[in-house]
Amino acid sequence: MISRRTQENIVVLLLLAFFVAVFVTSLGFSPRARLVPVPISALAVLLLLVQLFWQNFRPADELNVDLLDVLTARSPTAGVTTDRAESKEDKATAEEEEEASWKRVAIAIGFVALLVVLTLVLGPIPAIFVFTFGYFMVSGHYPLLKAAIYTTVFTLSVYLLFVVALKIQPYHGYLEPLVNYLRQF
Amino acid sequence: MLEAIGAGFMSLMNVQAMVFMTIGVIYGLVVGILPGLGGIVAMALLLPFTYGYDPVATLGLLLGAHIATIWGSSVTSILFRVPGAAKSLALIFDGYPMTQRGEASRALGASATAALLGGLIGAVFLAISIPIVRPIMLALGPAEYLMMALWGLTIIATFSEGSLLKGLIAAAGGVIIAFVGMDPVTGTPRFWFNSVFLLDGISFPVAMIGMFAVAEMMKLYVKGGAIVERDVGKETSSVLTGVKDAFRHWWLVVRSSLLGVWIGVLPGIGASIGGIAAYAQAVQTSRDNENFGKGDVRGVIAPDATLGANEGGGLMPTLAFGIPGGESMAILLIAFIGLGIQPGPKMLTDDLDIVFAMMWIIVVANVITTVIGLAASPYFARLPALNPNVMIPLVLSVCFIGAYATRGQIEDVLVAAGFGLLGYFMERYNYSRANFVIGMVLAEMIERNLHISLTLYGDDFLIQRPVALAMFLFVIFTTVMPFYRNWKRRRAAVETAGSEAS
Repeated sequence: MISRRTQENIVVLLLLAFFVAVFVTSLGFSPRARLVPVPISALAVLLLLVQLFWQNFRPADELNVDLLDVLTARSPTAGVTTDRAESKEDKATAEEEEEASWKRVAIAIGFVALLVVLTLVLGPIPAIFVFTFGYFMVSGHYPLLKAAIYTTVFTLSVYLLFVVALKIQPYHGYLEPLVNYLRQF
Repeated sequence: MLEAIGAGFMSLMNVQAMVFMTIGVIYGLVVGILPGLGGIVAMALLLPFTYGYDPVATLGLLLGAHIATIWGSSVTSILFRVPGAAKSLALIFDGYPMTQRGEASRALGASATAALLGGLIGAVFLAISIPIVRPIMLALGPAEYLMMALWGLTIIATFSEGSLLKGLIAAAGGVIIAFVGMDPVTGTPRFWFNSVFLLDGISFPVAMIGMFAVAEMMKLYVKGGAIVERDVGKETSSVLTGVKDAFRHWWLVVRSSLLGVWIGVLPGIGASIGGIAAYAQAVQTSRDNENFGKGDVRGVIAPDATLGANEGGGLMPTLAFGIPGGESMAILLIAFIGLGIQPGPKMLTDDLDIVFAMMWIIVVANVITTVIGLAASPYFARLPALNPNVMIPLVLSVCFIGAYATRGQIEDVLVAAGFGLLGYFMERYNYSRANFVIGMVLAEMIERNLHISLTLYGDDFLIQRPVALAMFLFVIFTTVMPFYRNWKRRRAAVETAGSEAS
């Protein structure tokens, strides 16, 4: 499992790549159009380089600002954080938790992606039904019948609110030919 | 001015506006008391419903929901020890011990009354400040507005939690994202990668839905387990005792409300630290403070009065300068853009009735929230915990159809999901989402005023506008100051440690 510092470095490098790309792309705009994007992206690149240096070579909390300190002007020694010595067991537990957390992150990304795909393929309303019912079943929170009833009531409520009341033109995805066929009747 | 105050009141007194506001309040209360959802999520999910209606009714819906969620998140802090939003964190210090002691109803009564009184003081402040601010606003030019926007951008980073650099980087990211699409000044398409969809720009409401609502659901899943675990005694108190407590400590309410107004006025700070600052102030200024942290009702009254008053204060820079007081005000600004309302001098001259309508919305929404809250408090005190397995699929579904409904473009679902992932990882690695949003909102103001300043005054506009130059120096000062204070604080700590060792 990669360390927190390495993760932080990866994030900074990704952001660095993003802002460098923005900077280079902005140079292709007219002088007026690049007036703000160029300095902002250049500044962001500079800040990221300082952040990268700081989080690797200096104590990271030197960059932190204590809100209460700024607001209430507490005594200078108050609120100074000290590094806590961690035992080997603490470290092992933290690593296990971190690994478990990444698995859950992957699942979370997975269900967001699944809902996107369902929405693109079936359209929002059928996707809501399939996703919600599936989630209830996989999580085992409700038995089959209860899950089906709650999902149907929820999907109908969303349909009434968005399609009937707000008159949002529904998108049918790959079901469009089927919907068109059914419209003939 | 009196005419505008009357017109504002009358524009609120129509069926649509009152119905929208009441729906907003009830929705806000429901969302607010669901641990795991906060006011920002509530407002983000409402954005798709803000098009095509009367502006006052729409603002009633948004502000009503926002005000109700603030109190709703106080309820979760008091009952479950889970702050519905960061701003309600201070409520757990004394609110939850009161619940454990069987005094949940009293805590909720004190909380609702303090929030109402704070809200009223905030609204009065807003009404008084407008005639004072208006001439100043009209005297300022684009160069000064540019500096004000820059100050708003840097001060939010200064006050963001964690690394100041990360705060500034997040704000820069928000500014860049706002530039996707057609540049309104030069007509140049930017960062569009030959996509007609991107030419229209990133929809701010869709980005908000992703960044806050989708990301929060991901966070909720990753956190795992039950949202709340309760270990409380039998309920023995009454709501009325809490109401009396708030009036008995009226001076604390006034002090805390004024603090809330002040924190609200400072752009970028928002209410996140307001509750904590109010709690600290209550402890520091109370003679008998040994019961704080053990269930002292004053520890509930002070943060709630501050949070209530914060809205009136926060609206002032939002309406007058177009600089949001916090993330919720940034979402309100996004709604303004959708409604075609331009904050700034124009708002304080041409749309003064809307400004005062918002003041009245704060007053009426606070009253409705308190009435419903007080009536429902005994039931809230017996609320069961809600399982994330129910909340996640329902909220995610509403997020995605809400994203689609905003512009009727299916690509917006992808944008919401993308911003959801971005928001989740920003939260995980402490890059402030609030700064990102405020950067998005201020980007247009910065670019527009820079172009106008260069056209009107030339490249040396800072030298030609001494007020703008002074403001620029102030921006540098307020950005560098926290670094200097940090450095000084550390040096003092090292010196103290050195002298103790010797």
